[in-house]
Amino acid sequence: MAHSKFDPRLVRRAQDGDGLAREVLLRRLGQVFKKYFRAKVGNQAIVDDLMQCALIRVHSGLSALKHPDRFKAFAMKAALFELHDYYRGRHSPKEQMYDTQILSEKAEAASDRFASSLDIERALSVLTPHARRILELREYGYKYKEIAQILGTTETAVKMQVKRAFEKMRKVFADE
Amino acid sequence: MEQFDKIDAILHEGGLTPEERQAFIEALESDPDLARSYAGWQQICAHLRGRLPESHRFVLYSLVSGGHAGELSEEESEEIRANWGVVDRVVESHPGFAEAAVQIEQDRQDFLECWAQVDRPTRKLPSWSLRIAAVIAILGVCFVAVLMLRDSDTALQTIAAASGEYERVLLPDGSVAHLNGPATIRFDERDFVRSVTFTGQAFFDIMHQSDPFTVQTNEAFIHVLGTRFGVQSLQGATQVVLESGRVQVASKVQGLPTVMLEPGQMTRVTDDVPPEPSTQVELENALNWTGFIFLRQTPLSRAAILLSESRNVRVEVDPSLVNEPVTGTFAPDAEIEEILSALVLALGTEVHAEGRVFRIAP
Repeated sequence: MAHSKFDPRLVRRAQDGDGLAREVLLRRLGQVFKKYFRAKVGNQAIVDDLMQCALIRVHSGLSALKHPDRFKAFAMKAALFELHDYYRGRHSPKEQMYDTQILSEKAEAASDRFASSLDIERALSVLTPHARRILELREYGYKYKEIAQILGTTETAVKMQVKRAFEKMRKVFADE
Repeated sequence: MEQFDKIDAILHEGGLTPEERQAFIEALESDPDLARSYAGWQQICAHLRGRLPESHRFVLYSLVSGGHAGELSEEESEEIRANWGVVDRVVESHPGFAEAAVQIEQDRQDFLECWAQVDRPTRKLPSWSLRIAAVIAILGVCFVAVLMLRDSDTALQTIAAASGEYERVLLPDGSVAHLNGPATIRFDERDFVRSVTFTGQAFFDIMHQSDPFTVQTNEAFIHVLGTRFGVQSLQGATQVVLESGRVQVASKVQGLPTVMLEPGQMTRVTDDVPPEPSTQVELENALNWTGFIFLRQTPLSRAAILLSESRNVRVEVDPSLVNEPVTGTFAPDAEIEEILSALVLALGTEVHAEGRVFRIAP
């Protein structure tokens, strides 16, 4: 008789406070997470972080799982949440860090003066749909290489699109 | 470095060196055009990010869009129902976000593939064969080099484990070959007729059926019905050790006498000569290379030592239980918790765990 390593009975035991069952369950799940994040992200330190966070998410949410036979979907969502939180967080912390660390008051003032008067929708309207798609994917958190994989093109081509978009917008910025 | 590259480096791709940063700050202060470009670009980026739906909601939305609404909990379904319109409008007006939603579907598929690789089905041992309900739980990610070649015409499958590696192969009839590299097994996956060709080292767990199962090595045919045995086919000789059931071992040269093995017996076949007469062996020693743990009326204290050594844990036994005999067969990737659970279940005792220390007590 075939049986799963994530048998609902094991999940139920883990939910009911059986420490061994919980340990076994999380260790097995750790194997899935590790394999998954390694395939998605590659960088070992980030893989370890994502794995840890996903396991904590499962650990803390396990008791609220109403249907132990849906453990796979539960774990899958934990992995997706962590992965996409990671993507989303890629750019914003860096920008904030640089904003506070590298710009002098004078430089900030120079850029702020202009920023308040910018018509964003007008600036975006000069972009081609393809360029806009790439910019949106990038702001979602994907790197150029990943965008290239998603769109079936090369990293260089993607970066060139963004650069062209920037040059187009510079003209709009100059008119503001 | 061009203006775009500097700004892009700051906002997205890897940053600048301290010297480049300083030069950029000075350029921002003195170059109004650069300041405009920087501020404008930053605004555009922030604007797009601001349009993004909340991360988890977006993941759930993407799952539902991909036809997987059944994978949401009731609370999640309720949340998505309440916010569907808002998220949907954003996705419709942002092709890049729509692309990201499709990518989440791909991420889901990739996760399920990883899950399937770890959660490969295993088969429970027939309970009659052992005093203890032996557990073969096939676990773990095996650090193994697996070569899988598929011939499109015959569905011929070849699976190999590199030297020192372990690989579990589930055969089409439910039998299992535990490869202990170096080993290579070959069989027709589509028209499986209970026959494999094999070289190297493996422990076979053959599903009992009316049709015999045949393992063919360079030197021998091993015919079985339902049984468990180890085969080493190395350097011009095939050695067979039987753990349970019965097997018939024959030379590949027709007309030579065959040997029938009983549990705990071994034979050896070399080119062009009949198999050697069977000899009685200690399974624990003769099948040590398989990585399995064989317990046959083994005192619990001895089992504890074997388990401690093989699983890198400490298994302690209450003095009142040290001479209790235990029987079972455990695969190389069976986890210590499962093994101990099976043992204490049979003994009617308990196991207490503290980290990597396990204590079996009445």
